[in-house]
Amino acid sequence: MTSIRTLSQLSRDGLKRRLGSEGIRLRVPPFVVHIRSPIPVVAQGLYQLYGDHEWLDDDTGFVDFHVAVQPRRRWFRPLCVFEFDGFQPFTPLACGEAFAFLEWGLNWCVTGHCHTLLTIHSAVLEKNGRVLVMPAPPGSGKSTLCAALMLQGWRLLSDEMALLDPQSGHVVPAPRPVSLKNQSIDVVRRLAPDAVIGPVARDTLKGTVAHLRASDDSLARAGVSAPPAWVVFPRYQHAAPLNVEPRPKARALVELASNSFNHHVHGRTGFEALAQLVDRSQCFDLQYGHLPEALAWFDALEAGA
Amino acid sequence: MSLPSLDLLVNALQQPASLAGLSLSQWDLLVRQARQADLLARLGAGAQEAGSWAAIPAAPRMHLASALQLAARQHVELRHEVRAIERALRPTGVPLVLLKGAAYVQTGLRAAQGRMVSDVDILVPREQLAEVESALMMAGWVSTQRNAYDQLYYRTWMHELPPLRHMKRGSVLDVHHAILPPTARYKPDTGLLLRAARATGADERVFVLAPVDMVLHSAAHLFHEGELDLGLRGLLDLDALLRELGQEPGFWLELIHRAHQLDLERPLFHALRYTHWMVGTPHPDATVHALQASPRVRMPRLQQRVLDALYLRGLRPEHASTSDAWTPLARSLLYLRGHWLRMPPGLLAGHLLRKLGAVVRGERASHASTA
Amino acid sequence: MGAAPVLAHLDRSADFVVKVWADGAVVYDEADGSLQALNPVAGEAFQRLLEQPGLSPTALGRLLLQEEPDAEDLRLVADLLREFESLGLWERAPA
Repeated sequence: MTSIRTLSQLSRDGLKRRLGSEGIRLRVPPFVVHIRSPIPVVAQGLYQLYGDHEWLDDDTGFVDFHVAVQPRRRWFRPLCVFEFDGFQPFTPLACGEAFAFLEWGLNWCVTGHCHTLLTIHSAVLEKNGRVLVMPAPPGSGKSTLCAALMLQGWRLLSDEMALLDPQSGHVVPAPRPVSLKNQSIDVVRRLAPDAVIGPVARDTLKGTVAHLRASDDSLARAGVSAPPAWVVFPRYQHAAPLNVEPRPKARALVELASNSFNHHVHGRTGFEALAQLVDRSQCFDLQYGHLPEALAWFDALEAGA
Repeated sequence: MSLPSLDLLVNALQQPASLAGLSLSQWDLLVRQARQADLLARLGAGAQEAGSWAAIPAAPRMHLASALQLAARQHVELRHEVRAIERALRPTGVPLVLLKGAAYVQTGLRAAQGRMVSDVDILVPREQLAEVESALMMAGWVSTQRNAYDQLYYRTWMHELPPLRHMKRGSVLDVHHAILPPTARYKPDTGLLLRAARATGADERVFVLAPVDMVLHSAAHLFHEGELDLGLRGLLDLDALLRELGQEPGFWLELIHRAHQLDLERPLFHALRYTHWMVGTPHPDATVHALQASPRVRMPRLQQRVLDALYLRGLRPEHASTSDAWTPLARSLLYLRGHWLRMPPGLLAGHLLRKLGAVVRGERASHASTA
Repeated sequence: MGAAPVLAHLDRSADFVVKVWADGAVVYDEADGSLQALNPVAGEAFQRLLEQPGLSPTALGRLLLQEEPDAEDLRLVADLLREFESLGLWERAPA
């Protein structure tokens, strides 16, 4: 029986060499991706953040997404472009953002091509067999909350998208590095000085961006789906007191649908699945200004359920 | 002809029972080729119909299922869209005649299975174009071509209005008054097509072209249009139409007769020839012989060989694994040819003829080396 | 004033799905994939209209209130129907 090989079994140079030529195949649950890129920061990011992911060292299997981040030289500024099987869905970005580009590109691959599940733009974490869904538009502080909860022991299912199985009503895990922006990078460093944070990209459209490695437990249990129990809409407001309001289910449903990438593809089955999610979960609006207060509230919520 | 690995995709589409025996790395290639050719949903539909769905490994199956989900949603949206268009046109008294994908879905033809339909195409009499346009605009459709040149180009040279987009729904509607541009060499009579249109089962206020006309339109569309990215899909549409509609007694005889009436013998000839070569579509020999006898179809053998080379390369999906070194050139020449057939011959530049010569010489050399 | 108007709706009733909770309701329209939040009374009213085509305003009021509606109630029902119309959920059949 063949043992599982992980990316960490490759040397930095071995990884770089492969990425620059035939590429590397990784299991990124629940998918398999094939990545190519000659750009150094991509190798760096993968080396730091995907060390425990299974490396598939043969090319006879099925790959869900063949992607690449390729350099494009334009006049004075080195640029890079994301490719999905030879197709370029995005305009080029600065080469320094190449790893972040890979992460955004992988998100796009899932939301654009996976329609057996409902995808909802939200952070998703699990504790004691129950799942917390945190839908949120940018600027809501969900990434910081997500990172902090994971560092406190919640299992990460995803920092960006909930994959909801309309048949079982469970959320399917897809743990990947947690994307952090601007101040939340510092917040996380202070919270957990030993946490592994990947390459930092400055001056992106979203500001400064970096990624936090997913916890070992999150990756180890990536095959375990779980039912939703809470839907929390967070809103960060600097120095604001903690304020929690239960949200009426109808409004939670409408908000969830507007945060869903593909509920319309699922038609009424999608609507029923979202309605069921809301029906089975406690729904809240959470306003917070101090991270420890918010984290304490989540603990109490989980303990009390 | 040794063009790389199109057989995998075509076989998978034509023999869906064979899907059960594919390896994972074959599936990897197949899914990518099918996606590129916009045939992923069709592949899935074929597998379901042939009973091979459960035998497909879970990983590739997810991609087929996702494509089917998208196609199914499109069909739902299409039905609503057709209803909305019918209501918008009702005050004008102009019947709603659907073309292409929308027609196949509305009629429930096999050609509709797993087919992605993004726009709705309709056919109206030229004399009532203004009325139709204004009724549609009252109901919320707006023109997508804002600049005056494009508006003029469409209205003068083309056989359709600039595409209309619905303000609220964002759906696209193409209103045709002929199936080929007024400047093309072939001029099939719209009046004949409209008079033969028939109501579909689902809703008696919605019409589609007669079966032979659907086939001829599909052939004309494939072999006169400039864009070839969906060439293989177009061939498969034709294949599905011919296999299903060809069962009707008297169909093939009526097809030749109608092709002559509509001045579409040559596109039909190409259609039968290339569907047979590329995807194995059966047709009676008598039909092809009858067409070849027509003066509209006869051409010098060398020209036929050049066209064969161009089309066989141009009709493949654009994925790197199905092309060879000639294909980008072949594709661009066909694009030009498509336009040549749209615009009067005098506008064709001289250097294009020289390019054609290069392709012919290349062909001869490769044949010599394999001899 | 003539007889109370009878409601008739578009053949679109099959397009809708309604979910009603104590504190709110949502209507899903399959035609365009849109969701519309309604208050619980409106949600229930819409549900009734989907279940029973051709319901008169008085009958609808009676179902919602579980008693005979007075003039004020009927005005509210009429408002409700106008709301539905403006939201595109309903259409009055031509007289």
